[in-house]
Amino acid sequence: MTLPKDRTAAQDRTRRMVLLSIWIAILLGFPLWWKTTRVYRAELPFDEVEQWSQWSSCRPAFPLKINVHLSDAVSLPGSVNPQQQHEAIVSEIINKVQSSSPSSGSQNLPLEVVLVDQAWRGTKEQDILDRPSAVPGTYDFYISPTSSTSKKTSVSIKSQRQGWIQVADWTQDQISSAVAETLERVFGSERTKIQKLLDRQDEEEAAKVKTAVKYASGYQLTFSLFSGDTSNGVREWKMQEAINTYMAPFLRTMSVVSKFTVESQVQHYASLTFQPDLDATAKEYYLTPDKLPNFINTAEWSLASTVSSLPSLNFLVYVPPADQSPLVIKSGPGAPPSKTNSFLIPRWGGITVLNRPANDPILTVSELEPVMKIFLSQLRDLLGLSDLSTSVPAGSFPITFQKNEATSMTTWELDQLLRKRISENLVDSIKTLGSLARLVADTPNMVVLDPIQEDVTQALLDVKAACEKVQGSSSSSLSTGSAVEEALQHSRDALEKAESAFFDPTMVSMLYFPDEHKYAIYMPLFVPISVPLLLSLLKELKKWAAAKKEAKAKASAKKTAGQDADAEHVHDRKEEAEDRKTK
Amino acid sequence: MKPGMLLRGIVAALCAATALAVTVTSNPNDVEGFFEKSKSKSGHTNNWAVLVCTSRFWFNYRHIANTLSMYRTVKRLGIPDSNIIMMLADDVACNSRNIFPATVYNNKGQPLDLYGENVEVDYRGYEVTVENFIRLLTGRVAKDTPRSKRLLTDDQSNIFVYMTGHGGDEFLKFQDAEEISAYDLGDAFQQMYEKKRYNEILFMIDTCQANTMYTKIHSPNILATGSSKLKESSYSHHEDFDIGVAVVDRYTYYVLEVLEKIDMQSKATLQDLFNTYDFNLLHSTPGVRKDLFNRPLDQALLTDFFGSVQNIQLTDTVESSPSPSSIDAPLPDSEPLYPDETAALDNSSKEAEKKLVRRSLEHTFEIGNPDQSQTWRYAAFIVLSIGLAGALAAGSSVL
Repeated sequence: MTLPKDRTAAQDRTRRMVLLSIWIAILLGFPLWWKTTRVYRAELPFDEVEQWSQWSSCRPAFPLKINVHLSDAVSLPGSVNPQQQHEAIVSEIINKVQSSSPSSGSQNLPLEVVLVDQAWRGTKEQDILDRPSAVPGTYDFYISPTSSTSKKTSVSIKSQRQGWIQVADWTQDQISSAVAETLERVFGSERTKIQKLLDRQDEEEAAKVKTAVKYASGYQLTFSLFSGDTSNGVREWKMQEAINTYMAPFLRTMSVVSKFTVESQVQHYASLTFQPDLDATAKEYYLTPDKLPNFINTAEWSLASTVSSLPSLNFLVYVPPADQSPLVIKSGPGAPPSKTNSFLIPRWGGITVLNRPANDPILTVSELEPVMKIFLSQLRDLLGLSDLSTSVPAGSFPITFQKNEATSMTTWELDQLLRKRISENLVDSIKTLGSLARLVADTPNMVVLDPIQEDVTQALLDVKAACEKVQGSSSSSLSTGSAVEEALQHSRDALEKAESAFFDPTMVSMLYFPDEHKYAIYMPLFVPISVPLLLSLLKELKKWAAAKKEAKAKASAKKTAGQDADAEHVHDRKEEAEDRKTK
Repeated sequence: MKPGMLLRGIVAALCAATALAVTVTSNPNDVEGFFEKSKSKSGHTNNWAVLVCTSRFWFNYRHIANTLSMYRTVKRLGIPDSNIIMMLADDVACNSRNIFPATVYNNKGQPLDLYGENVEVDYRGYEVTVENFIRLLTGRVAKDTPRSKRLLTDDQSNIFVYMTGHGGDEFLKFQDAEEISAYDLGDAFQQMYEKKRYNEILFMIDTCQANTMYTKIHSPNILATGSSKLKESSYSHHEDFDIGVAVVDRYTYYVLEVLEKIDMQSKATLQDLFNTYDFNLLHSTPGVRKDLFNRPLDQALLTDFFGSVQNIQLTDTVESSPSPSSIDAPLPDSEPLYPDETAALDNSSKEAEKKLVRRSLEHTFEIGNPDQSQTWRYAAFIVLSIGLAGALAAGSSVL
């Protein structure tokens, strides 16, 4: 107040400049702060995921190509034009298949029936066995008049995608209905299963205990020999040879679906957690079924493998000590013992109790043969390989199945497994992506990095590729025959990508962070800063307003009271100009 | 006294039930039929246990003893070590104040050494964090995490989750450093449900105001039980004067009293356990939340969660004719079997595969990887704050 006027003016000016610079910094900084502290979320193609869950752009369908070979050993009655007759037979087969399949879902396994022009000349079984079909989804039916004396229709399904239908009466009607019934019985249940799977109507089956393990690109098989004590004399087993002989062909065939790592171990002095009961009359010890769930001595038998992170399947041979043999599984004294003396734990593995004479210290390959056969059948169950010879429903004529001697399976079953696993993988990957979508939508705090986006996009591309591959599996790739396998590979990749996106370590929204907490953190910082800033701004504005009023008053006073204080006038103008800048 | 009578009654009932079960099922002609009956209703094929002690330091001896007691129980009832994930500060057994080195006891007079010779602690000491716990449950662990630190459950797993420590209204403290809230827990379970990582969960928590911890769970098939209600403390049971600290909590002590009396074949149900809850013994109000659980509690066996009773299937068919064939080459030692890829794949798909492999290698993420951190954000933040601070200093000196 006592200062000279120009000095006050200069101070005012500096003060205003400082205030202005702070506010500019804040106004510029705010968007930067907003942008940099924002949760980074890469865009995920959720609409596309939603579309896929309806299968709106591509629905997986596994076309089956049925080649029908008619024997020309006997000509059909009334055959005038073989070309016409062939067409008639084909259309009749298709009609009959359609009318005889009340089950829905025929679009999942569309049938294409082709009558091979070149007639089949042989009538011997060997002629069929010599012509395997290597293409999954393409099957050859060889049809001939029955050669047996009983004069009845019979069907024999060979292991390499061939079937031999022997019809009782060599007429067009008989031939077509025999083919149609065979197709319906072999593929009918699979068709509905895939339909349910794709439409996600398998919820009621989900409640049931599933024996088969979930799909993985590799499994670890652990074969363990547990020997009760030294009294049974077991020292070693020829497991490697037994695996090579009995398991390897099967595993090699199955490796189109999954790879296998095999290991084995022997543990001595393996005791049970309980004493088996003695059946005095039969002179044998027995395990009642209610004890079997506790058969494995989890505390002492080391079964967990830390070698690989593959899902593991365990196969146990238990040789009881001499004072507890023979050891059988039966429900009580006097009851008939279990035929195989073995049982299966769903999704875990198989166990067999082996009773043997105590004099031989080495379990030989031939001694292991029945055990390996049991394990093989348990492994089939665990891998979800359905057994056609037991699952095909009864009909008007018998269907027999001939398994491959080495692999003990038919390629028909392998194809079924391939189709099932492809569908499961596709459904699972889309479900996983759907879960991911819900998760991201539910947790706004979660960071979604670019690799996640890439994984999701790639998974969708793989789903698409798999779907397209199976669509064209029968027609396009007759030469290579690997379309279905490629589809499996794509579906596996899709599942892996989807899971790696879902289980990505960055996808953890760290802590629940309520808004009150955010205020609690920002308040101590921002309140002390903002109070002087806001107050000084208000003060400046007030001053400016006051100065303006004063200037007005002065201006009006000047008008009335004449000329006064030029310098002040100039100063006022300057102030005004500065205020405009601030605005 | 009264509770003793109750327990005795339960045990008697159990014996009767087991005897009954045996008589019903010992029909001599029916091995097959038995297997149908013996399927437990829970529909699980494997059991897992996650046991978490969130406290550390000597005076929290009892929390570690609680957890080790539960560990001993589930192991005794048949859950293998590979299926038990234990998170434990594990700092009392070898604490310099422990006059019984390398032991942990849960009762006065030290009748039973819980530490024993075969304790497998999966997350130890400072690894017991909220982050690790959430990652464990949701499966979002770093890629190089060993198998023993992963919860490898599937849609047919029953999981027993036990937590103990110091808690409050909707939170549980982790080692005096951080806390997990009821929301975090509910979210983690929901994510497990989304990915079908469990069949059923039994969540048990022993802490102050424990029942508030399960209020935010909203996923199906979860049964939750806690030791005390809102604004109520949970108390320790008794002290061992030789050790010098309380050795077990009341709630856990009385739960263990029930569990000690069952074995693998037991038909005792969860309802039996909950019936033994008694305010006079616990000095707090234990709670049970069963609205998310689909089965009646008097049909849910204790061994469905604390034990490892598996469904079994009798093998009756044998493959007909795999006979030895001399053509097959022997397998190489411990080598994975690979298919003949040369015939199966044409060139283009091989290339595609290679590309995918390379891609998947590129995307390896590790927690704390500097490439993934957002250094530039910190830099921008620092520059901005320096600018602001300078401006502020100038401004305040003038003002």
